[in-house]
Amino acid sequence: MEIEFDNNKIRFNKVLNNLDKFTINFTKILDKLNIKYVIISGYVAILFGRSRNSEDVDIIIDRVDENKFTELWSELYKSGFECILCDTSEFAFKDYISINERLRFAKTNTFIPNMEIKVYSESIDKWVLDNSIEVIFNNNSIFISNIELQIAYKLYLSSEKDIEDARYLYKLFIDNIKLNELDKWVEKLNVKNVFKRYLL
Amino acid sequence: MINNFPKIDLDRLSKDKENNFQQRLKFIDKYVEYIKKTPNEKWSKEQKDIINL
Repeated sequence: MEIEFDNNKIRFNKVLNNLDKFTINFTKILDKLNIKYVIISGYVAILFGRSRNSEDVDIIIDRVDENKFTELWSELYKSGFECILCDTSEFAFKDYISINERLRFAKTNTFIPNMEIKVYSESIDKWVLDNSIEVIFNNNSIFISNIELQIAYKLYLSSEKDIEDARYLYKLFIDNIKLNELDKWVEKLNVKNVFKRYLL
Repeated sequence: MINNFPKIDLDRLSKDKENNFQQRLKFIDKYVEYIKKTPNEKWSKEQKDIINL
C-alpha cells in the first residue's frame, strides 16, 4: 500500500468502488454548501481496503437551521439523491434533524447504499467534527474521523463486525497512529478489556 | 411440523462461535499483511470486484 500521512492529511490512490463513488458524490454536495461533516464508522475501514461491503455510510454534520437544511435537501434531489425516510424537507427537518434523529438518503429509486446523516449532538460528535482527517484520493477530498478515536469507538460498539474493523485499522495504521492517544480514548470509552482481548 | 429436532449443545456452539471469530481476526491480520505489501491498484481492484458485485 502506497500511502502518505502528513499531520491531519492522508494521501493515497485506489481503484474506486461504488461505495467510494457514492460517498464522494454525496460529500461534494456538503462541500458545495459549506456544511462541515465527518465520516465515521465502517466506511473508514472500507476506504482503506477492508474487504467487506456496507449498506450505509455514517456521517456527522454540523448543525444546520431549517433554511440551510432545505437548501441541502434541494441540492441532494437535484444531484439524484432522495430521502428514504420521508417525502418533504419540512417533515425531515421537524421529525429528524431538529431532534437529532438520523436521516437516510440513497440514490433515486434505490435503497442501498444509503448515507445515514446525524447532526452532532454529543460533545464527542463535536470533537470528531473539529478534529477530522482530510483524505485526498484520486483527486477527491473527504473528511473522516480521527483514526485513534475510530478504533476505540468501534471497540465500544463491540459487535463482531465492529471489533474486526477496529483490528483492521489498528493493524494497518499501527506505525502511523498515536498510541498514547489511542490509550486515552480506550480509557475514556471504557474498553480496555476489549482492546487487550482482541487487538493486542 | 418438525418433530425430530436435534439436541443442541449450546456451550459447544458458543465455543465454535468464539473460535470462528478468532479465526476471522487472524484472517484480518493476514489480509493487512497482504494489503501493506501490495500495490494500491491491485488490492483496490480486488476490493472493487467484491463491493461492486
